[in-house]
Amino acid sequence: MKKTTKAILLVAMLTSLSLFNGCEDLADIPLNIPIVVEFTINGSETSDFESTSFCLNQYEEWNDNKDKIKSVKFLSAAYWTLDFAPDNLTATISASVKDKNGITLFSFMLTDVSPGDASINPYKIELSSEEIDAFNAYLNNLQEDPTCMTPSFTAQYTVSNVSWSGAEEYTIIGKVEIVLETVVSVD
Amino acid sequence: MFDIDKTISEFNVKHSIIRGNNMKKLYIIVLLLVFTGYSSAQIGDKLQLPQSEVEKYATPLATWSGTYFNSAGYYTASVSKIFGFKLSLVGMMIFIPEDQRTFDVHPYDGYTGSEKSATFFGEKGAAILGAEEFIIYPPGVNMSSVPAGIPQVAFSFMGVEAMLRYFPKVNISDFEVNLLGWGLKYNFSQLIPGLPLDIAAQILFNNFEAIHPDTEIKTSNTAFNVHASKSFGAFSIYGGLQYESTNMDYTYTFETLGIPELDERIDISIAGENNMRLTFGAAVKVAVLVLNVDYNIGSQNALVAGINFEF
Repeated sequence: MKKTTKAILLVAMLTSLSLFNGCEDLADIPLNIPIVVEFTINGSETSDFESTSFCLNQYEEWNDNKDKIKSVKFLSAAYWTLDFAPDNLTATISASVKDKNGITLFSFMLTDVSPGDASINPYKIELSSEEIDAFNAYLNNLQEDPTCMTPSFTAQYTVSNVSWSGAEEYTIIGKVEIVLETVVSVD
Repeated sequence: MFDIDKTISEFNVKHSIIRGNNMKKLYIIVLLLVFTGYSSAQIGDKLQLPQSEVEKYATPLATWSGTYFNSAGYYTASVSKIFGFKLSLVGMMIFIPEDQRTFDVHPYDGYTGSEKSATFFGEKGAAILGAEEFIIYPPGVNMSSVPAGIPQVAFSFMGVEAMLRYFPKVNISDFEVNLLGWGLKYNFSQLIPGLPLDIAAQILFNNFEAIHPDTEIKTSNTAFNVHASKSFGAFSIYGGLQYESTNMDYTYTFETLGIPELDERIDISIAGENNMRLTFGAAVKVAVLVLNVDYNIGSQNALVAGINFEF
């Protein structure tokens, strides 16, 4: 079909739509973005830790939307044990997430557990209202270094009072996932 | 604990999810449908939903599609006994009821929570604790009323009217979009001399396609109605009862673990909840122009207005 005919039909459709101009527009879209931090501890010490620094712009989904994010707030967080060995391992597991100034945003501790307990049923990290407010304030004032030379966050994963038998070394792989609720502009 | 199970598990989980890129395309489709011209937002890359949840998310969209395409079939039951022609520009506002803006989530077997998440027309998506991660539900477009427009032509002869809706294949945002709709109407009242009003029966078929190399959306809409109208000089009133059905087929390529050989075509077929609608409206004729407005009560209500050139 000729381009002119197509254009006329498109104009006809838009004309009929124009009857309703001014009605409800597409609003900004609330988008939940997961931030995942994984840890692996492997060794034979009864206490050990791993520390990881990161920026939000290292996460693809955040990076894709960062120029359109109008607001951001904490929605939820949880811990999973992804893997562990040997099977009879028990430990006290704790983790904390700190801001770039070293101030703790939130933390949790699971005392003398089998890591597998947090594999079948993830551990939901409950934040106090004060922690949420502080976290949200930090998120909304965050000016990230594009190269992440100055990381925005530092997460530390610690195992202590580790007990096991039947193997020389133990391994625990854990994950903290934080879900941020953003409002993304559709413009 | 260290074995290939984890990889297989990830594969199985990913096998049953729909990725964000496909959601982006779904957004584009509805934007095309309503001709609003908005650009699509960068809607997440890691949205994960079991297929059953995708269906719950998209069913109101299928219903909307049916409400849209099955609207504006008539504004009079009168059909020319000799020859007639109509060119109509129709605009409408479709109202999305509150209970079609959210749905109860059930992300996995054994889930006992009671959280709700947005449907396509809702607002906030839920984040549900899953076995290995948060299951992130997509947000909606946060609209409770959706405007749409459609042009149509009709020809009548000997009490039978044929209607045509046609949207040529055009490329918009990498999609090839086209619409073909047609309808047939017969005025039964011409068989009963002296009847004080016109009565007609009509059948409508509308098929819309949006095809992308990775994604296809096809909606098939069928409607059958009986309607009546009564004229009072230049004014007329009309109403009718319509049975209708809509099916939306959504096909996309699922990218598995980033390995092209494992890519899979996924087909989802979603039935709209539009089944019956009651229509009542009024029209006024000024020379060769007819202005009409009607209200449609169904699964989603619609206010329809048309400018019709007829002779």
